[in-house]
Amino acid sequence: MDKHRQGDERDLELQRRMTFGDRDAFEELYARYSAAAYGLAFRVIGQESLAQDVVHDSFLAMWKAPGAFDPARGSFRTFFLSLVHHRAVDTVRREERLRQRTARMNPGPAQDEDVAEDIVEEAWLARRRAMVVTALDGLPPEQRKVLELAYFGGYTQAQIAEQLGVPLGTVKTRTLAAMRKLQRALKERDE
Amino acid sequence: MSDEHEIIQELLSGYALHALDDDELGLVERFLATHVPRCQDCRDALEGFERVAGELALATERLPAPRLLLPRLGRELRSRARVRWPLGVAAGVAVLLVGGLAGLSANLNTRVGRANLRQASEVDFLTTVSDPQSQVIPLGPDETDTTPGSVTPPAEQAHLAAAYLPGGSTVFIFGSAPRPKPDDVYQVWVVHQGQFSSAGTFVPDRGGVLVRIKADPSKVDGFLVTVEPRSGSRAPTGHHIAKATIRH
Repeated sequence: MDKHRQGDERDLELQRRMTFGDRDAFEELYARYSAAAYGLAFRVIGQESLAQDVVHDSFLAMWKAPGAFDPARGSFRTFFLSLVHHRAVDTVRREERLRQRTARMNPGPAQDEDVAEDIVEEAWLARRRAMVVTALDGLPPEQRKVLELAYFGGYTQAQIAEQLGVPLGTVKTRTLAAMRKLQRALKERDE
Repeated sequence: MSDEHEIIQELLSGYALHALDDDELGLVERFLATHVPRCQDCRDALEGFERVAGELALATERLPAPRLLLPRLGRELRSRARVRWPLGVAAGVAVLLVGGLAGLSANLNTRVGRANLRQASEVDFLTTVSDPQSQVIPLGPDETDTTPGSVTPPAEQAHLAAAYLPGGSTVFIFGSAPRPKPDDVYQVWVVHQGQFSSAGTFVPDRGGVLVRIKADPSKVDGFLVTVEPRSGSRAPTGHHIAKATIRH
């Protein structure tokens, strides 16, 4: 079994232990995914305290109702990070004023002593990350743009169409094409 | 691939990215309830898009979470009980969440009433029930039911609850219930000042129920589930399977 699948298997084991209230399992999952979750939430929301709330609520949700994860429909990682993304997008839409934020284009929050220093990433996860970045970089720029505005910007497709000055149908077509290409690219790299 | 599949998959790709507006979301939910469960191609596409959407998170820069977050979570883990659901309710949800929701979607019927009963997604449901402010109220037998004849299936076999966030506009009805007779469905009613408005009909799949109702809990008095003919009814006519009263 390759390292990537071993990583998924480990996640699954930790998630199962968490259903029995195992705090150590919770903390290991936190160690694995808190940096990815916080990075994602901060990129979508652009504000530290709200991003922190999203990550907090997402981990708490998994602790309180761990049975909501269905292994048959994908890895724990994709499920959990989807949950974080969903909450982050809901937050940014609720707080529409955040659209005015300036932090969005900044690389990240200020690093101060309240921030955990150690974010060692396991090698298999780092490889997976590299695969996703490469696949994303391989998209035609116009497809990548709509995908990034939707996923990392939290914009709806109608807002993206307005922002780019293109018909809504074009945004939809580009999104579909991008998602299919990413799916193929990630699948090929899995094989 | 036909135009219909292409259009549906365009919507599904936007849905997986959480990038649709409310109107399109309603359209997708209709396809999720009708077309997708019967179409392997679109089911595969949706599953693939959801996985890609999860993987995309990795493309962003990792940032160390604030140091105080883990201790804060630790305190929450100690002080907050896990979601406690009425007996039988959790089992029904487990069936759905472990087995997937596609089968249930196929049986969801939103033609009755204002078509505001929709398939609930796991993430939406999880978001609601895991919120510290969420209210979970069991639906119990309705002692006031005077419908003649015996109830089929027996009301006591239904274990349902309603979950919502105060101030929200969505209510989840979830749990387990036996399948009704072939020509029957369950119909959900929103009760307000003695009046009943239909929220839609459903048939549980594999015993599990997880549906979403558009309703403002602060403005309703409760919920009622009855057995009705397949086409649904304009007012409750069949046996009352379960009822809940919201105390304001």
